[in-house]
Amino acid sequence: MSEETKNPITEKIESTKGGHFYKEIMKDFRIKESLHGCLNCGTCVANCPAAAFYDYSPREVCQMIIEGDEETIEEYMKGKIWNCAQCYSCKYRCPKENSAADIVMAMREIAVREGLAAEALAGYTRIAKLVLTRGNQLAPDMLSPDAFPDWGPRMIELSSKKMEMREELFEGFPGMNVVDRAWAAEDYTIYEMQKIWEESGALEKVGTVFPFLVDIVQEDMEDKAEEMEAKIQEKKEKLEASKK
Amino acid sequence: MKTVLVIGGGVTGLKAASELAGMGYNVSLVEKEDYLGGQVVKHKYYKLAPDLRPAGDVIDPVIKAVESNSNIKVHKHSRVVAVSGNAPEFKAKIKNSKGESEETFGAIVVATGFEHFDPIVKQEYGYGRFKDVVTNSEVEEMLNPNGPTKGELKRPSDGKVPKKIAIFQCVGSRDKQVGNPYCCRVGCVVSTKQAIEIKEKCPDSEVYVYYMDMRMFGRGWEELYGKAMEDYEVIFTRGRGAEVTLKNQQLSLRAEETVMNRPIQHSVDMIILAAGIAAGDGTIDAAKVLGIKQNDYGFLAPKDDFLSPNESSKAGIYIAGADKGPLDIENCIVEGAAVAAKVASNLKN
Ligand SMILES: Cc1cc2nc3c(=O)[nH]c(=O)nc-3n(C[C@H](O)[C@H](O)[C@H](O)COP(=O)(O)OP(=O)(O)OC[C@H]3O[C@@H](n4cnc5c(N)ncnc54)[C@H](O)[C@@H]3O)c2cc1C
Ligand code: SF4
Ligand code: SF4
Ligand code: SF4
Repeated sequence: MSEETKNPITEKIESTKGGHFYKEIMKDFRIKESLHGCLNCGTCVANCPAAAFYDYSPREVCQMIIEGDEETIEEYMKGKIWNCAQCYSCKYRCPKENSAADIVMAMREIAVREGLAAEALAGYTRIAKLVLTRGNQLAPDMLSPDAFPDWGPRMIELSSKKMEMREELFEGFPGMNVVDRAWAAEDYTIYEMQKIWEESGALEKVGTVFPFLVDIVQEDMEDKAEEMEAKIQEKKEKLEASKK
Repeated sequence: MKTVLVIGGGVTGLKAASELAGMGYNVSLVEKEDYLGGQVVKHKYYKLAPDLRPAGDVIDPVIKAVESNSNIKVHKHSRVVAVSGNAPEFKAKIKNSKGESEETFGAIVVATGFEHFDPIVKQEYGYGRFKDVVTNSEVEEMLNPNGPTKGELKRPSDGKVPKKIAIFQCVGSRDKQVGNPYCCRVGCVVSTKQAIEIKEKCPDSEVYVYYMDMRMFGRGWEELYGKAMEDYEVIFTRGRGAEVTLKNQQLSLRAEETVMNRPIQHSVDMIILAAGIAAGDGTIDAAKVLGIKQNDYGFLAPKDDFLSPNESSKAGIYIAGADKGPLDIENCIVEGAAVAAKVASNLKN
């Protein structure tokens, strides 16, 4: 059949298995252990909390890898795989002992590496920023019903009272009585954490998804550098002295 | 003329015994229970698939053929506890509550059958925790007028007639999580038959079958499946039953409707588990006493699946029926006849 007479509906049937992303995924050691054919039985989907609330299906993840269509894989890496909650229910129930959870984890890593994750993760910018600059990932003022469609009525009620509850609970604990982060870590601790990210290469990886956050962290570090380095030096000296 | 030992008094063993006796052999039939007929009698099967013929029509003549034949000595409530010697001269110790006896045999036929998979292992289905989750063999007993409910379908929890019934296929079969990746081969036809029987008894009930594939390969099975859909409006949903919970005294099941691509929750009054077929303790015990090979799942392994299907790994010891793996009654009867022919021809030579 010539190019022009291709049927737009059945065209997909021509396999595009074996593309770059497919090959990258299949190279990961977890895939062989996580996919042993699929009965299309839906047990994973029935137990999957993500499937109950989003347009997402662990069965589709398995079928997608079996079919290996490059376009579909790319689409998933940009979008659907980021809905998985990594709870592993699928793995412990699958009659073929498959693990969509592990497949998703491998695909996420590859998506980050290949620069496919930025859009899907854009919604996590605040969380990433909080982790990188404050050392914790969720702040009370980020917890609201519209961000969590899976909340029930009790959780919604509690959430509306969270500020008063925190005030009562943490009276007299200055580091805890904050709403823009879960708790306030010391500057020194944060600086140390940021150094670890920088030296381990983790910060560079974050940069593939959130390039501007790298600048923010580096600026943050520069601002504190003089004071903190002096503190580090002081600690080192103390340590040396105690050895003598 | 040599004597043949048949172990197991289910439909297979009974058929083998009466065929051998018909050819003039003396037969000793050893059955561990105090009745003949195997699973069919134990669970009071009422009607057989695919013709909905009363089970008694089939099993009674097979039992009678054994009991009325003077060449067959029936040992009920007995076990073979030790075997020595080689073909064609085995010595077997038969033990019952009264004591032990030893007899000499030219050949041994093992027809020890299967046991139902125990669904308590699949915790997520709640069997053993929720009263209204029952097995297909419990439903067989319920549907039988001589059974515990006198033929009425009643929920165990409150004795009420259930209006919405779900049947889960492949429970303990096609499932690596429980170590049984094989197909039970009878679950699909049995569930279809039970769905029809329930609809006949309670026409305004709703019956849902949750399945992955309806494996209807036997004589008349596919037609029965068609009948269930067309004449009885049984609803077949393509998705495996995944989980059962109890909310406000109401059973709720989870599954994916795989054709529609959506996870569902479904409230029902009763759930029937199409429990699979496992190698029973009786079969495993016989394999040990006789020293014959089993396959990965505990069933008895033929010397060659294609070329000598009724010979065990040991000369002079033969195997037949559901102890080799899941099999329906029609084929068990064929197996019983086939093993008898093989034994007879080998003993002649
Ligand atoms: C719920 C259900 C419904 C079914 N309905 C149908 C149907 O409608 N139609 C159909 O074709 N098939 C049906 N089947 C399949 C049918 O039950 C089997 O094909 C048949 O029972 C197998 O016969 P068998 O003689 O090989 O084994 P069994 O019936 O298991 O008989 C084996 C006998 O050996 C005895 N035994 C075991 N071990 C020993 C030992 N060590 N020493 C002495 N005795 C021993 C046992 O007590 C038993 O009496 C159904 C199965 C299930 C699970
Ligand atoms: S690990 Fe992910 S895919 Fe698996 S059940 Fe949990 S949310 Fe669903
Ligand atoms: S539970 Fe396993 S076999 Fe069933 S659809 Fe999901 S991945 Fe496939
Ligand atoms: S016969 Fe049907 S119920 Fe039994 S394992 Fe096979 S597909 Fe499942």
